[in-house]
Amino acid sequence: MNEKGSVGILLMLSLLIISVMGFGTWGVLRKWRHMVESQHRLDRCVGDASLELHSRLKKIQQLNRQITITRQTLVTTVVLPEARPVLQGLLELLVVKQDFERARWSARQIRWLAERGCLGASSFARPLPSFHLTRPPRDSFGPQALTWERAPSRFLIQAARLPRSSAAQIISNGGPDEPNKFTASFPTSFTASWTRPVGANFP
Amino acid sequence: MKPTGFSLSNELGQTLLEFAISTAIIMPLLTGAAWLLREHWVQAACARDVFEVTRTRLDGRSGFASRFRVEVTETEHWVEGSARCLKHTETVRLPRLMPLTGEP
Repeated sequence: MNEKGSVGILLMLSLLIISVMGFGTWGVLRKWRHMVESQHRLDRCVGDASLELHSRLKKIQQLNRQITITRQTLVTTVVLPEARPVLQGLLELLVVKQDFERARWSARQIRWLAERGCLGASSFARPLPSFHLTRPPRDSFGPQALTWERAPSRFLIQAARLPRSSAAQIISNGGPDEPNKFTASFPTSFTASWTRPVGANFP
Repeated sequence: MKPTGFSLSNELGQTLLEFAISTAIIMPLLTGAAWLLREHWVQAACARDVFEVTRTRLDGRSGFASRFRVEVTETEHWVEGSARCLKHTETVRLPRLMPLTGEP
């Protein structure tokens, strides 16, 4: 080998090796940061959806209580017929408000599906839980309060962007019929908490 | 042809010149690359530490040992962690739910 340029070749080789190592390290760092960002965004998004579900359930529950109280008042106002139209109007208003809350949650479910949960096309998510609530037919006093058609043990929200995932749940703090279950009548309160993801696709 | 003393010193001079020029080009490049890698390292480590500290506080677990000074502020609805790492500021804000349960 000609000695001329041998130093240059050695330097170029060293530079090549260092560049490959440098780009490799840079790639690992980028991936690391990307994973942290993904987890942050997943936790934010799942947490927000859980709090929204918690808030909707609470609102529907409060309205259900108000509807029940209004109906009980209607039963007792048989002796006061002039108060009846006012109370019936109030009952209708409460039902409209309750249906609006349910519709808002349905809209949120559609948006969640459209956005594939949290992070768009690169992520996937379990559909947001539905309220399987039903309203018994009107009777002589007007519309009735909602009851659970199918009482779930918990509401689960989860989303993932592999290899990261996030999950949260809403559980009942105990109902009048059976504690820690969503029973036909509404439980007294709900708790939103983080949980472990469920399912094969969720690490 | 047998090299003369003049041509030997000429070649040595050429080699030294090549080395000097190459080093003058390569060294700033390497220094720049090292600086960039360090920046990325600090950013990645900082992002991870801020997230872990915030998440640890949110889950009510014992403190995560961070090499950065992460300040955590808590409200009724949020837990927010932030740290200044070199020129960057990392902020993580997570909604406050109850801590992780062992239930699957």
